[in-house]
Amino acid sequence: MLCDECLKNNATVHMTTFVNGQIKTVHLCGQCAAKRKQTAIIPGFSFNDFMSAFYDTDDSADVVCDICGTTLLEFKKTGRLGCANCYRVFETSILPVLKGIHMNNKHTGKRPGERLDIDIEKAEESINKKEELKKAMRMAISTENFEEAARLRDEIAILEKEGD
Amino acid sequence: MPRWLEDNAPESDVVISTRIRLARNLADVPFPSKIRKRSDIELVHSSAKDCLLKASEFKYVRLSDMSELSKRALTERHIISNELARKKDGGLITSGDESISVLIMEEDHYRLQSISAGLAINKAYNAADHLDIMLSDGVSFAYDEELGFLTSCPTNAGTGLRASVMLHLPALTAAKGIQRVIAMISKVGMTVRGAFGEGSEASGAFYQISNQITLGVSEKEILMRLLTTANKVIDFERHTRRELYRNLGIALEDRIWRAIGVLRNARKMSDVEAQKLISDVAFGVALGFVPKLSSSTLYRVMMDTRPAVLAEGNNSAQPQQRDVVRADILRKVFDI
Repeated sequence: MLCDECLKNNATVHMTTFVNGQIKTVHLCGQCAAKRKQTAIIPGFSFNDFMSAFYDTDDSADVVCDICGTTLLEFKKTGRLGCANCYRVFETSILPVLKGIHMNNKHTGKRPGERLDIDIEKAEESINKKEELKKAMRMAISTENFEEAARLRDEIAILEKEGD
Repeated sequence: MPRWLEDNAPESDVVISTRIRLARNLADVPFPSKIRKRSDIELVHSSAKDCLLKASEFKYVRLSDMSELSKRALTERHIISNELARKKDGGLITSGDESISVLIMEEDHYRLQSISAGLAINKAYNAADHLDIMLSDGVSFAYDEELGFLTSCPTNAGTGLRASVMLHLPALTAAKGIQRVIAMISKVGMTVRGAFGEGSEASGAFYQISNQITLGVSEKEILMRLLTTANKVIDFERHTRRELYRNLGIALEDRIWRAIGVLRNARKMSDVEAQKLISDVAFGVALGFVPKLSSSTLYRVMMDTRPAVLAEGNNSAQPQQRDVVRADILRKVFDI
């Protein structure tokens, strides 16, 4: 039997692996087995390497982007796409990953050219104030001070309206 | 020198800076790793220049025209990344005080950056947003209705927003509370890493907290989460500082004054030693022991004495002379 890797020498090492629920056996010559052993004990620790474990790909059929020439295997290795079109070409492999990293796959942020005018300090202040008022309202209810509780309830309602 | 540092910035006893970064790409040009045509590369550069140099305070430079020393100094000031410094096609647009910068042809065509002193998320974000609008007026971005802004690495897609704060956490570091804080923060979709030094090992107790998630959340949600996280960590740090002082008392005061003693007398000092000592003094300033110094003075001198920044400002001092020059600068600042 010839070595699966170099297809030159006789296979003397038989390795069985269990990947994605499938048992695979590879037959290697002494040299190729040694090489594989070496790479096996020096794992890559980059974030992209780590993420590649989450890409759902079928390694047997490589896909190529028709605009920039990036291949799916290349993307799996580097974690980087070559152009905007890659997102469409590799969609089925990328979307599950995006879901893994992010909250979900739907962009909810700004669109190009939109001005946001962020004022989160104010937003946080209002949240804190609301929490305080709610606490005071519960306190008023527990001491049967219903007049005060009603006043606080109205104040909270105003704040909530402003927040929208 | 980081000219954007200012006195009395919000929460500056704990927060050094707030930083916003937006990743953007042109719609019909391959991302930098796959860009091949010279004309495409020139288009990336010229589009940014056309849109942004209208504001006269911005200046543009091609990284290939810069000395290795200047590039190193920019990386030490956290303006450009090591990745951009190595690229031959890279470019940089900066405002006069370097609070605004655009990295051209790094991992993405554009990285729009804005830095503010202290905890100033609104200010930093709105400056970056303004830059984003200026650029979008003249170009069309790689953008998808579903996935938002498209980036070279899908981990940045969506908003393309990375928002971060740089914190000085000497008490949490000394009291070994930092690992717990890091574990907590990572549970809410944020990451923490050392702001100086290699990897996650922080030198001088400076840390950077930033968002990990960029898609499926709005800019406002990302920024709110950063603010809430930062405020909580600031509380933890301040509380731990008081507790440490209560427990250690004179021993802590002694450590801080010894640090000042070394800084005002040493004739030779390495970058790492300076950072550690300045970190100790900053702790003392925050506790009110050293009324003659402010946090911003310390952050500034720490940046100014980084190896390449220092060499750039002192006739390209050679490595063996730098420790002497550094000690000279520090003696003046700490002669209080």
